[in-house]
Amino acid sequence: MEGVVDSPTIRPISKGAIHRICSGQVILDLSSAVKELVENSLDAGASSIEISLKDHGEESFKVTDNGCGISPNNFQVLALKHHTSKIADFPDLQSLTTFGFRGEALSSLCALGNLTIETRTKNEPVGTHLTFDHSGLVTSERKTARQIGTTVTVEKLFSPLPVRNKEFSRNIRREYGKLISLLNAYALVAKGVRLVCTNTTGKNAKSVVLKTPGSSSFKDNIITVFGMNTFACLEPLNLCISDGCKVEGFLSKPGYGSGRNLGDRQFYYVNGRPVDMPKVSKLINELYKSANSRQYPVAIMNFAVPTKAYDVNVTPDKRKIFFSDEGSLIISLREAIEKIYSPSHCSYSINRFEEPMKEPMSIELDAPRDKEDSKRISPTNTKQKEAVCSHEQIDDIPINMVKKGFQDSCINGGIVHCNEENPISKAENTLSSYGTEKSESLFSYQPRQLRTPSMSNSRIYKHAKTHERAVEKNIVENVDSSFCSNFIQSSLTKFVTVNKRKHENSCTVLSELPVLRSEMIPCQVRKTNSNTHRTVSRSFSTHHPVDDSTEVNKDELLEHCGALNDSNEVEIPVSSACNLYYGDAEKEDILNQDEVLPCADVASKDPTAPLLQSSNVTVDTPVPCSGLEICSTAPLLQSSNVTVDTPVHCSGLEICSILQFSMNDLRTRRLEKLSRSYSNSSPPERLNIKRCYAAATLENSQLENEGKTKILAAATSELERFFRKEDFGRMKVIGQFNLGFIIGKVDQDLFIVDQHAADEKYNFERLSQSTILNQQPLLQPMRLELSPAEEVTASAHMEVIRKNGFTLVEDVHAPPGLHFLLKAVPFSKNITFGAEDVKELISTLADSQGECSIIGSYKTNDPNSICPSRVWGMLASRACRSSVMIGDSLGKNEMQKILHHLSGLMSPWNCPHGRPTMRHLVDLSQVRAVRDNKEGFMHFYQVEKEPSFSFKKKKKSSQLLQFWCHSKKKKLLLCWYFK
Amino acid sequence: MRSIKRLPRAVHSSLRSCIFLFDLTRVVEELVFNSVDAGASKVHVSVGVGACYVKVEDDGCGVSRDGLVLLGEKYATLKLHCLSEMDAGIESVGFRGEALGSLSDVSLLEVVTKARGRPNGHRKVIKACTCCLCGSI
Repeated sequence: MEGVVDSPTIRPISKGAIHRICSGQVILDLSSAVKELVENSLDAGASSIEISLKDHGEESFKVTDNGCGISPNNFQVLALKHHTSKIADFPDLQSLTTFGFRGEALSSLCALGNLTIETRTKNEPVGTHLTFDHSGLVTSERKTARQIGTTVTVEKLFSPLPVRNKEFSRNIRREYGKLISLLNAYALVAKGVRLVCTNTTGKNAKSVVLKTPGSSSFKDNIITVFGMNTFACLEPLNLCISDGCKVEGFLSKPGYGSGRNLGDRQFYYVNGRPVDMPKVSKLINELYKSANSRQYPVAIMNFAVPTKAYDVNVTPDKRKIFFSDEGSLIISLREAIEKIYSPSHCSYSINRFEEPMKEPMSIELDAPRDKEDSKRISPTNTKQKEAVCSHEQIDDIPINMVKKGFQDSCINGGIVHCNEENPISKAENTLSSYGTEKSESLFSYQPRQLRTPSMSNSRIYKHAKTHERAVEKNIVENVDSSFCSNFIQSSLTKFVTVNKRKHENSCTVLSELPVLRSEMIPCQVRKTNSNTHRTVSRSFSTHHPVDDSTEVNKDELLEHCGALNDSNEVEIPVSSACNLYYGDAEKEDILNQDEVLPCADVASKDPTAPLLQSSNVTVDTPVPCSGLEICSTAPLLQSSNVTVDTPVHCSGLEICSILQFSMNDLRTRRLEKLSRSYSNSSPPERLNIKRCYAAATLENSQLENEGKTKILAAATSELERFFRKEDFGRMKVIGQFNLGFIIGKVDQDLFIVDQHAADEKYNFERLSQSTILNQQPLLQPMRLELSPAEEVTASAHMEVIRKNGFTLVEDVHAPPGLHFLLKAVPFSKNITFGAEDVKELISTLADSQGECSIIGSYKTNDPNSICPSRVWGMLASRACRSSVMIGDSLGKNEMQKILHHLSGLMSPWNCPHGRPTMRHLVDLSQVRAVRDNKEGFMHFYQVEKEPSFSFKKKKKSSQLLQFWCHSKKKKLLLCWYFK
Repeated sequence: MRSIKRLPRAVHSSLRSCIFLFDLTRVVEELVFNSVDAGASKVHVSVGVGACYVKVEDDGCGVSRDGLVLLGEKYATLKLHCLSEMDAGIESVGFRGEALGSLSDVSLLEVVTKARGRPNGHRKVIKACTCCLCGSI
């Protein structure tokens, strides 16, 4: 029969083949196999799940849980296809609360590998060991001893499928990697479940790949899986989106350094089920770009959605989800996230503060307790979050300068100046100080640091450490004189007149002598310092400017001084001066707690902030110096130049001290301090000033780490500054810096605005609103060659295309692919756009179909504002050329106008090319507080940073800007790092 | 713990069909595969997106009346019959015997066919893997 030959009859496939075909679709790879078993365990209510792999899962894998177990009457049907206890009928999917529901996992695993199960419920005295054949039938059953729960073992996965088996063996490493990241996803979301994954290769002992303690909060899980560093960059997210849909989770904070270079840490869950949400992911990535253009955010989000509102039965691995109303979900989500990464307000300043905050948080925590202003905590590393050390002045005194100079070591330690106000500078400084072993490095560092506030406060106890003069000179002169002096001057002028006098005195005295001061060193530090000094005068690293440091013991200081002097060949007078100084300081401490020593205050208030500055002062006239310093409480570093020139400088000089420390030590100390300070609300340290010297800090430091996070959170919230674009209108011009930047003031905050970027952005938005694209009709309509898909897009978006100046006419009768005729093209001035541009526009539209897409980097609020890239480029280039340039000298009115313009922009935070327009500089209230208090506290703190930080790198990547601005007829020198 | 029970056939069949055919593109794709496997040289697809209507016509070999009996059953195919064939490799685009069955789970399916060299065409209407109507035209 011819027909039969042509169309062979349709016959049923054999049962075995069906089983294998279907199984292969359920279990695609190692991760999906393990996933099914882990989900079974979770569905069984297990609180502990252990996954053991052999040879990365190629040989076998085993999942052990302590769930409810399987009762004996279920054994026979356990691994049969379409048998399940999780649903009974199709509508049950609407109220699904379990991970699994199809009844296919075990039967598929049977078909694809050798399955054995051990299980015991609470009703059985002993467990049962079951072996299954490939069709899912039980082949043997025996009793075995085990805990309540279930163990499922699968050996030789995919052995019945030759092709897949070969692929599986070949790619086992990759499969293994996928599995681990999948397990991470479960480890993050499973609350109260202990998850352990181990791998055994060959005869090696098994290695633990993943281990979570089964904590009950999202946050703890994140810390366990990704570490504290990552968590510090996250901010919690709690959104309520329409009709019962809630989103809980964590997102990267805005600002460079908070994100990741890869988008690999994005986990989305729907009611605890890990899923892929490409649209949400794309949305978040795009929104994050407005806050951090070069990185991807870390996103861990759980969508709590009514079970009726989505369908999980879409793909075999259940990673794809259909929402009944995804559009509105995405839109609300976008609105909510835009508030976080908002172009319309505050992203900048927040970034600033936030960055610093992360690490300083602990300090801040301490600070609030102490009564002091926590406000200022933020030592931000603008560029480096990781900055190891930041000094913060707990109290009003923002500046801590630590200079330790040892002659031998010369400059072992970096110089750290910290202004609380300029968190960024601090961090950088600290970093820099860290890395620097050379005086040169020190110089560079110092300039970076902002010192202003510190001067007045300077509590500086100076260790007179005698440094070699040469060294000192170098340091002092180069660094101090240049930067510090300026800095100091500014600070002094601003802050304390009284101090000035004192400073002046001190300055005069000091001026001659380059002084290295070890300012207050946290007790521990001090101890260490003293010890180290004694033992090793050369290695400052021993000094830990760690937070722990309370006040320096006078004795120790003295000793230090002595030691230093000895080692350093310090002049005798110096040492004596030092001694005197210390003694004075102590007296003062005792008498006046205020002045007391910032150290004391610090210790008490901020256990974390160790202010030790071993100031090495080579003082020709040591005596005056000490007296001055004590009186003023201002740490004096004086480069001889500075002091001589401006007494004010002297006060400023105070700040400079070189600290040497190791990153690790600092870090650990800081952590300790934080915890300690946290734990100790009271300032016992203060009480025991002397005690501080020795030991207190260390002991205290090791209290708890846990309080830290809370404190940190509180601190962060305090530090956050909200800057709305309307605030640009209120911004008062202070002056122009370096012919390129406008310094503006809003309330108590100083901001620096890139004049070109700001003006360019304004011009760009103005042009994009006002530029009218003229239409040029074409004499001969052009036929566009478009793919059918593009034609569909084009006909759906005719309006957008028309708005862009193109006229397309659809010719329905034309063959597919040639439906559209281009009848008119836009032009503007001498630039004409053509067929290529309309094609690009169409492909952009096609790319961005869907509600979540954001097109172009401007006008993000208006999804209709799509334009070809050439139009955008034309506008950007025109905006650039018509804008104020860097190097243009601007009058006050012009500057005010530029700032005013910014307030009316859609998104004033970046220029069209992505450069930031504005950054936060310093909080003046800090500075003022310093003046009022006349006390300086040095806060040293260490940002979480890798010990491998290299100063040189930093140096290259950043450029130091100094600027002067005139404020209240006083000069303020600010040093700023720009990337 | 609830005991493990077998899901009704219709339930697991629909569960599977939902996965197999989760959007319109997939539906059309499967039908076009069938046409291609039938050796068609012309395939005409009409889609009514709003009405959720799909029609695929081809000039392939068609299905004989005998074949029509099993057509629409799950896991019935002319492309593969035993495991050994599967291991040997499959030349046709489809082989699982799931497309039409799954399609009937998620829609009302009508098949109109005339095998080459046969005088009569046949029509079969299927819903949820069961034949609602089968006759000559």
